[in-house]
Amino acid sequence: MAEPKVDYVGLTGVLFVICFLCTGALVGLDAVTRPIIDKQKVERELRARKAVLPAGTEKVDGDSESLTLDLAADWAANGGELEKVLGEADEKARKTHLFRGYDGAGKVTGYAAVCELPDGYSGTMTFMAGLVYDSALDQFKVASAKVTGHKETPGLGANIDQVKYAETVAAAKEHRDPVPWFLAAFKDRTADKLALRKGGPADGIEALTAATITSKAFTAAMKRVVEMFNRNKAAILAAGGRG
Amino acid sequence: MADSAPESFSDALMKPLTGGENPITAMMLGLCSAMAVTTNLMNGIAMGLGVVFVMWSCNTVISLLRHVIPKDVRVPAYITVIATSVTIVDLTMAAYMPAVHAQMGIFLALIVVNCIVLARAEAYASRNSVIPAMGDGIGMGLGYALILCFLGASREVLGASALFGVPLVEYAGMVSGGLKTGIESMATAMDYQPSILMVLPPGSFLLIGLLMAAIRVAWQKKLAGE
Repeated sequence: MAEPKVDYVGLTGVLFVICFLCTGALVGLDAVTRPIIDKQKVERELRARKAVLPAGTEKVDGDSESLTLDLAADWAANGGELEKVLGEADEKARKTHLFRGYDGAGKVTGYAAVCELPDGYSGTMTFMAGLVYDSALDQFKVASAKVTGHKETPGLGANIDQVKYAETVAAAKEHRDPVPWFLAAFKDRTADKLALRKGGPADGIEALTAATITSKAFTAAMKRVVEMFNRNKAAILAAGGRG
Repeated sequence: MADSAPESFSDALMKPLTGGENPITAMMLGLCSAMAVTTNLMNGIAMGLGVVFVMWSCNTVISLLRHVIPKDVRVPAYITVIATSVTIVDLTMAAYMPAVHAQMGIFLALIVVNCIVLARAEAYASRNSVIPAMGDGIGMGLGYALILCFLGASREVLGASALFGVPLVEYAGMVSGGLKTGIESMATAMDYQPSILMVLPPGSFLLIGLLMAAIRVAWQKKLAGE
């Protein structure tokens, strides 16, 4: 029986035309939506930074306006600890970028830093830490925090993002982003107060139900961030606001 | 490919909904995405609507091209059309509905490999004219969406004691008048510890299995009664 002849040229031609038309449609749509999506990305970043800075913050440093902190000297003494809070790129460069918040008068209200922790229950977690300088104590303390990336189990570690309904209502009334209950407990804590109640001081932070590993890892990471700020206090404060 | 016997738009539309041909419970297609995405009702609705649009557009395009696409390259051709349609949904949602898009995450892109879309392209759109193919696409999508809404609602109520992200207890507070007394006593009953199992994969398997069994029993009773 003769094998039916396969018209490769024809088949390739039809596929080519279909792919060409599909690609054309997508290129057109991309041209329309890309600027919108990029703008949203920038707005999301700015909003995330503003969310962790204290109330009264009106403007935030954009990507190109951040304060670059050179950690080479700090790394020599505390490399192991710093390795556990900086993202991979910052680790290699031995520096980190701090985004400053400004109030209406242009005074610096606080600093936001993008951080990472490697020891979450299901791996790396990324978060944004917001810190303020308390001149009375001559130390940095936590303003707020926001977890930006995690792979934790829903119902357990993922409750680090859980917002109580009362908070959702309150936040909507006050036109601000709602703060998850676990992270709300970090407000105004200095480095020495960053510990869990479980197995620690009575005024410690309440851990997530049945998610001790996640709670411990996050609290330890926040403590490292505050300690990093305290060690580099002089450099951060000397830099002031953007030029 | 030779066309099958012609069908009307409404027949094609209603078969997956009332005619015993639901893509999930009868044909058991698209189970992975159905179970993975339905941790709450909002996700289920968003995913369902996404699939309705993709199925409608893909069935239409493939039906229009059914005499043009050669048999030997039909699968690559169908997948290209499906991927394009899903990317259109993805980009449009990212630009104009960013909150929903963030919730959907990777599941939106995974519609490309949702069995239902390719299965209906091969089994129906390539053998029927445009209008019935549109009906089939919308019907299958809606059938899928209905099951997703049921799963999403059940898993959210049982696994997070909430609906649409609002704790159930709050709903009692929103009702006024005589209805409120009745609702309030229900709300006390609703202040229960949710079962996390329901928002995890095993819970979805259990729910889908029970749903399929219930539908089969009901369908068989209906057939026996005829």
